Amino acid sequence: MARSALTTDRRRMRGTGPAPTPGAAPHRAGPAAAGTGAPPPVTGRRRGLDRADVQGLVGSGYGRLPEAVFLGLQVDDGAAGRTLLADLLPLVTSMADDRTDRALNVALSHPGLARLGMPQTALAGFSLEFAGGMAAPTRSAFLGDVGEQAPATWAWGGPDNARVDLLLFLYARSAEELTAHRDSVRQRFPAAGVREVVALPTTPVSPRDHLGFADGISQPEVTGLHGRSERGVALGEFLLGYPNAYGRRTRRPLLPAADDPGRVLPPAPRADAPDSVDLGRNGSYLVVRTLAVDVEAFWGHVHRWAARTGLPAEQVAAKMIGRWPDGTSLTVSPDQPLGDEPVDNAFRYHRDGDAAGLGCPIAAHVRRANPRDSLDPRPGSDASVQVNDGHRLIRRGREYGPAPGTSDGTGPEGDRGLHFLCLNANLSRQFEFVQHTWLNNPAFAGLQGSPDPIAGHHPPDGDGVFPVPADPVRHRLLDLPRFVRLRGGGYFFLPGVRALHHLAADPAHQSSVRDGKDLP
Amino acid sequence: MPHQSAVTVLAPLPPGNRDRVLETLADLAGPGRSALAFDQHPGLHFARLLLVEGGRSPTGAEIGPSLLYAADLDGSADAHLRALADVSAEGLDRAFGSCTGYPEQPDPVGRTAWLQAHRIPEAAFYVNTVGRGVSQVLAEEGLRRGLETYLDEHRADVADLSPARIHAVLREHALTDPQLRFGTVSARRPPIWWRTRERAHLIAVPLVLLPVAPLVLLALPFVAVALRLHELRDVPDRERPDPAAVDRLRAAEDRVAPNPFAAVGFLKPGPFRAVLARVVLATISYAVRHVLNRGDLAGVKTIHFARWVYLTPERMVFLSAYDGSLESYMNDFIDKVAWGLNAIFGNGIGYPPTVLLLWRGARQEDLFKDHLRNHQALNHVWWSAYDELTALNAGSNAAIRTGLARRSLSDPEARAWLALL
Repeated sequence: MARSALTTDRRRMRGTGPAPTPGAAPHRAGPAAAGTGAPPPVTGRRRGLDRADVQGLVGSGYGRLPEAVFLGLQVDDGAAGRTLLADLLPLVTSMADDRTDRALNVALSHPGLARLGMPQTALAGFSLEFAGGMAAPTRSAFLGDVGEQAPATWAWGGPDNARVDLLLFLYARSAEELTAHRDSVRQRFPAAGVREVVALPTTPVSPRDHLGFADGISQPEVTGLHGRSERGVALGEFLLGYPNAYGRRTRRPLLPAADDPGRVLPPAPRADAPDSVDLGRNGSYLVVRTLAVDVEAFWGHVHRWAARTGLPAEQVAAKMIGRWPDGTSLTVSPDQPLGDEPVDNAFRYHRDGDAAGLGCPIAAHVRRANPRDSLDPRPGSDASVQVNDGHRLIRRGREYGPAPGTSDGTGPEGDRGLHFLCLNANLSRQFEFVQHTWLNNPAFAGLQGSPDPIAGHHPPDGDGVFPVPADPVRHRLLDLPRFVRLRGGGYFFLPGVRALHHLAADPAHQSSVRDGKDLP
Repeated sequence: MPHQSAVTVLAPLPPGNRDRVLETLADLAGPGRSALAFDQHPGLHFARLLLVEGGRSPTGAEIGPSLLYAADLDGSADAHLRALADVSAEGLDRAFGSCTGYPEQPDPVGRTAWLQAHRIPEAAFYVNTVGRGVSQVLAEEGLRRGLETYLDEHRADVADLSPARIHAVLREHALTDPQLRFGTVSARRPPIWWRTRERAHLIAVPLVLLPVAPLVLLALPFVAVALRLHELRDVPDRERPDPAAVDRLRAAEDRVAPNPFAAVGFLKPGPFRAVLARVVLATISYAVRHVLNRGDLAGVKTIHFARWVYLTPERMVFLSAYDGSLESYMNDFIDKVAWGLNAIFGNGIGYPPTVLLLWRGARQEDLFKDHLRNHQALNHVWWSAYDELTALNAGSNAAIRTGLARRSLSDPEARAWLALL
């Protein structure tokens, strides 16, 4: 998923309206927040999406706001955490505020939710993966986060780092405005009880990632997310509280209606639990992975194998990624980039004659991150695409670190990479499945010894191979080095706006009180 | 090329011995691994030992814990038990020594007799590819590696040749390499007596059933109504899996290839479900024996072996060896063979509600995954003859050998064959 994190969103950014009028108020809160911090009214609409209740990151990666910084906070005192959350509420950007010139979104870890006083019964309503966290031993083993990538080596989010209970995502139009935005957010931090423990700066959005490739091209079309009637992946695959790919509402915390005396939260469907309110509705699980990218090692490997295979270096790199640097699919155009804007992204591998991978190799990064119609049942069929649709991710990553100076990456040295962010409603079937079964799996789609060349887990000096199908005889790039190293991350929950209001409220009146201060 | 057999041994143990057996199994899975000497059994694909916990059956019968041994192997089951009683004596004595009635002074003959006495039949046994033995799987992986290495080193020399000519070059290379030479000859088929027996079974079963077919057709509407009435009374399991139990299971699964899976459950009470389950299993048994025996279990290609076994008339265990993660295994079930899962496991207590047995059920993803986790059992000792090879890999390697064994291929044939490498 490494490259995916270089998401720029510049092409398919939805809801990008005209540029804000110069001199407009620095943060016009949208109708959701209205500057008062009042929760959006419960509309009672059961079918349509209430955009004011969905944090903006779900709807877009804020491509219109090229500057961003992410702040990780540790909450030592539940009351202080709730106060901070309440103070931040007026700044929180919902999907309805799609023209603000700065944005703030708030995500919480499972321990963070406990710190803020969420009752145990509600905490148990989340998925096991989220509750255990990304750094849990079984998750590390599953995701390939072992050895050099193990949580103990991380810069943030690991067992030896400060706990990140709250993660704030700040976006702005320029560096100056981001600084001002960040300062105004920081001013709201209480004097005690909440500490900023990590700040993750990002690189301004650019058309190419650090490796020199366009990224973030394939985002799922989501039914109803943008109010259109197009056919796509079920909304419940990304937002809790809606039917998912199997027509079921993914499990999420539901509270007794008595725990929500202010009637902030939407009612839960009667079939799920009578007399309950839905704390999960309009929320999503947010996966964060900070992936350091070794640009030099990538291009070194590419040039070495270009020399040995006689293929042009750009083509070798494109085969590994699965697209040409400008984003053109290798299935659409195997021999050269087309330079189209936007790129043709409606292709399918089998239907469009690339079953054997002569254009885009089976093992290429983008083909295994989203195999489209490549896999069983009946590759090439709609049934294949339908199964694929159960494993999609909305990617919202941002890059960090200085851009390499030249297109082949031999520019300024520096720690650079990607803060990979993705949203999904089912961590196990979506993010974890893609990472384990498609990217890391050396036997993906019948391959042998071939993990994802970019984002797959393999030993640093391993014997990973990258087969490049060719007629009549394939090439094989051997001795695959590791270009990407995991430096931190975690599983977070990006609640709906009303759920944030509920979390910010004092739980003292709730039936099952549990204050953060009482926690070990 | 041998045929494949299953061995299932079930031995009750006094409840008081349960913890001691668990300790022994933990040792046999770890430091004491060599005592079982599974690697000394040439035709053994997979073997496992698991402690099946006791429980109360829906009719109120108290069932004690038992120790289960299951193996997937080449050749005859009897020969395997004899070899086991001899070669794996130390491990067997340690594992089964705490079970009721195990010989006090075991010798190979006594052990064999005891194992035979505790052997239970498989209601159905699925083999990914009938006839492909352990030695063939391992040898053909060596063949692929050898050919790959040759192509890595000589690609520039052959790339301008025609596909048919490249095939000839690779064949010549294999003929001169003693390690690869076997690959120029086709794998042998299972023995003629065995194939004859299978063909007789293939034909005999429909012949016997043909006369009663009209009766069955007439009865179907009534069965459907009765089934629907039973389904409306079913109570699906709403319990969420225990996180600690899931963590224990997860620590032992999700390898690339292959993973052991085990699930234990009670059948819904009553004669209707009992008969229905028997009929479904008989159908599955016939289908996997004669139709679904070429690398594909109704769309799922990641299963090496699988079996359904009655532990008691009311209780069943399902065992399989599968590739990838449990998550992908469950998704395959839901996406590709939900109807098949429903048909058999829909007769189990707590299964997500079905409609006429084949519909809904597993398609209720969350309910199905919880149900499966709730019934999953740990495989305390697991042994595999090939740790890195998926079923798809083994099938692809076999196809490489089949192509290499042909004296010549046409250009289109050779092109398709070269794509395997």
